[in-house]
Amino acid sequence: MGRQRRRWPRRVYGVGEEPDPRFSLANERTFLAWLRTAMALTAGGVGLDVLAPQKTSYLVLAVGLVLTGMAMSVFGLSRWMAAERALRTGSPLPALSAGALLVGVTLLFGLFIVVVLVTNR
Amino acid sequence: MTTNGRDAVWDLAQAERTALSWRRTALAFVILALALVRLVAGVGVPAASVLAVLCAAGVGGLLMLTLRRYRRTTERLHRSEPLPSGRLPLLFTLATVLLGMLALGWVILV
Repeated sequence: MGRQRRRWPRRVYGVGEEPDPRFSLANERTFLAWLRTAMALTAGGVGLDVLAPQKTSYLVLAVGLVLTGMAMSVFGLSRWMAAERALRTGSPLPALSAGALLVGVTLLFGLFIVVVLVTNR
Repeated sequence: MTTNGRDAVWDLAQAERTALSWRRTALAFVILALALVRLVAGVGVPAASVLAVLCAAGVGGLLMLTLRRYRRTTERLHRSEPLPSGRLPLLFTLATVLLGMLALGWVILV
């Protein structure tokens, strides 16, 4: 059980019992999907900045997208931990909470991009 | 637990899908790092070279770790042992944040 003791993070592996490994694997894939979404936002921000480096509206959008991407990756990890904990203790999975906020912010950025493209400012 | 573990061995596609997911994410790192290196090369080639070497080493290391994780995952499923822990998820999150900071630096400074 030495391996068990060294498992990180303690906050997750210190509670409950081993869940069905398939659930853990699915949880892992969900975490990775959040990371990839975060990368897409980051790439989108850089791409916008390449399109029009001189325009302030594009700069604001680019910075916002990259920051949202960074927040999303950290959120993905914390959600992975919360879900793994819930799997181990047999409690319901955590609500989307901050994730809903992040998705909302991303949608707002999409709207903003459309406005910026149409008005060409 | 034992039955769960044994079921999971018959469903090894689960571990495979997860491994592919890890690899896809590492590939996303490669693409973003390549784009950043290419952009930085427009400003200064020496800086871009340093960045390229660092990114190649970092992302290459992460890719090797995903391969090791897949091997360990299948081994432990066969032995009905607990799966690998949260260290690689932490590393991947840190890599994403680091790439995000590089992107932010480029967007603001250049």
